[in-house]
Amino acid sequence: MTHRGRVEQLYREWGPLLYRRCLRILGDGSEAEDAVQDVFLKFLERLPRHHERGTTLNLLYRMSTNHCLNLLRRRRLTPGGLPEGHEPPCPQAGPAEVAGRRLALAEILDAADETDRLILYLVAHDGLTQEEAAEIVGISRRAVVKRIAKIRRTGPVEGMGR
Amino acid sequence: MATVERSPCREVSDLTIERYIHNVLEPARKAEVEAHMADCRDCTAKLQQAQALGEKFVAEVLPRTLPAPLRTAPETVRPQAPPSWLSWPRLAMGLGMAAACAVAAVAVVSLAERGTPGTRPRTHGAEGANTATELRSDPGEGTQLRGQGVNEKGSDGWRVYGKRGSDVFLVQPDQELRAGDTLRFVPDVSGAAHLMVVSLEAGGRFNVYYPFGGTRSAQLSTPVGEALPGSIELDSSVGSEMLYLLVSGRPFDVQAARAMIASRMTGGGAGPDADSGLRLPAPDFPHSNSDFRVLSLPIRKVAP
Ligand SMILES: [Zn+2]
Repeated sequence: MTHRGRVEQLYREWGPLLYRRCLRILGDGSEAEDAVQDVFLKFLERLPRHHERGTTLNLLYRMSTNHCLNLLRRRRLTPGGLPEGHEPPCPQAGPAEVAGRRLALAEILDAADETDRLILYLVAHDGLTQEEAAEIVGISRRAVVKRIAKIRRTGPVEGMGR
Repeated sequence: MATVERSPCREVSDLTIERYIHNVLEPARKAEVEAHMADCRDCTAKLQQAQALGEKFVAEVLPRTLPAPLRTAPETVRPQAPPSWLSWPRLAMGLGMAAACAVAAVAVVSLAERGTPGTRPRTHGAEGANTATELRSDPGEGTQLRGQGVNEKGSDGWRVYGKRGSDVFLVQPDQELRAGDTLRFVPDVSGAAHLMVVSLEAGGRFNVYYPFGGTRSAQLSTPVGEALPGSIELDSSVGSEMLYLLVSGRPFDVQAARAMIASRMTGGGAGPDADSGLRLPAPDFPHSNSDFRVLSLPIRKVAP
């Protein structure tokens, strides 16, 4: 297969995941399309020759989530940036209901560290288990637990105990 | 699973939906998800919506957005010409040295320490190896730990496990591996280590296997003897490849990792040492720090 063919095949295979993910987080079609392209280009730069599909899925999930959270942070800095009550377009993904308390997206974006933001978003917003978050972030579950404990000590986030 | 009327069921996460669509769920989990969906309209709708978005992407978005990735394809996907410092003859030398070392039952573990020129890697016999492994191989087999290194202090080492079908085996130096084999990495590293698993292919291609596709080292937090998260599945490419575990007391990035590998390949005057195998020059790059350790394992990818 030609290299162009391989790129197209990868894009066909993983583009839908990136598109869903970016649309979910950004809530805007054209911005999501740009984000898909950006993340996919970054993915091509880093693509190891050998990859196992589950690992690739985790990598793309992480890359797209990080990318979109960074876009949201930037958007927030512009006047009228983050819409009040920003809701993802898919009805299933409401703001996180964490231990009876809604965790606002803004609180997640406030976290200073990119990995902390990612973990917060995955656990508190997406409702992933710590185990799943660890797989996406590419660190051990223990490391996730440690980070959450640290976030808890420094911030008001509750209910990250799953 | 009872669904609350007002808020939609969150039993099946977005991630699970993606894994389901891409068919990478463990069979048991997949069955669980399917059983749940059979009874849950919310989650079924979520799956259908995800599939519909995927179809929309392929039909509408892909044709519009594919040109950009294609434009960059030649630079990013084609195997790159090896940078001058990673030329194949040098790498061949590295592989040769490692192979020579394998004769001595345990392959070389290289320890590069700036400012301590007297430090030399040492080969260990079976007793040294035993401290770093809980291998369940035939103890009569003296070569079982080749390539699974232990450093000077006996504290650092790593094991690479291969899986072919249902067979799990410890990867030996220069072992022939085939497409579809998967590899997992088990560091035997103590302390608050930061690590990265990278590889260099004979063609000069550099891969980051752990953290997969990452640009920065990950802090070790798995218990000793436990595999790093994730695995690598070999594709059908063939040729030699050197796997490296890089360990440092401090975080480092992929540039530092490349520089470290490069310093092994080009180290002026560094030659095979009959006793210890590789002797490394002090690495010379901005991110160097005094406890950068490099453990290596050559493999050979062959056609089935
Ligand atoms: Zn459900």
